[in-house]
Amino acid sequence: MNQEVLDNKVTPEEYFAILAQERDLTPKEVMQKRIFEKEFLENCEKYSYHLSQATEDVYGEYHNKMAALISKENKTILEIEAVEKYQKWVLDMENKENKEVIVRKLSNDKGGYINATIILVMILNIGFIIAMTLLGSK
Amino acid sequence: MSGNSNKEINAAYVASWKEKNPKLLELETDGKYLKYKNEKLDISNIYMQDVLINPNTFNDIPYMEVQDLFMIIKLHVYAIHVKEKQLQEKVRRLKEYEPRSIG
Repeated sequence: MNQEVLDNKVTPEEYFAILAQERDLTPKEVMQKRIFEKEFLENCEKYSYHLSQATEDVYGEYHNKMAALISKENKTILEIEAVEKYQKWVLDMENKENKEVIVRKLSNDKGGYINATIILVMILNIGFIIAMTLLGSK
Repeated sequence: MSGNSNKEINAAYVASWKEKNPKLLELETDGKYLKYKNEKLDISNIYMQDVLINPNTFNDIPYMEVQDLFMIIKLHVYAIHVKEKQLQEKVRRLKEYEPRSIG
């Protein structure tokens, strides 16, 4: 975790206090809000199997908002930045998932290769034993 | 439901989880706050049983690691607050558009 994240990590109570501000947020508050929300998204991915209904709703709404933002024409500079960050985050998640699938597939493939070798050796051994038996009986 | 009974119910849920899963003994609560290591989470405005509506969470409580359960509850608290803010915003907008009474 880099220093910027460590310096701007906030508790849920501090985050909600930032949300409750009526005025424009300071740059530090903007950073703290972003870091908290990023952590929320990453943890929703990590714990997707166990999320409460409320968490799933909010997480789903976030994805829907981003999808709507992606298809919006005439985006502001901030919106373009937000979409790029979101798309990069989705791509990173997909790459991570694909790497895990590839590692699992390679392990299975290696296992299959080893199994085939063992079976071949067994067949050759049995064949050798049968041949020796037949030769011995003559 | 009064605030006090909600605290008692939340505390009872956490106590029952700790009985089922000794790994959760690190969680402490008085019903108002949930504490794990040096983190404290305000749970006074949530219903702990809502976390169990997901059958995966309900079934996995006896096996779950304490940091995982704490994070799932933390995410739930965050989501409840976000939904509350959304509702407050909707109410504010509706009030703005309420027709004014004549006379």
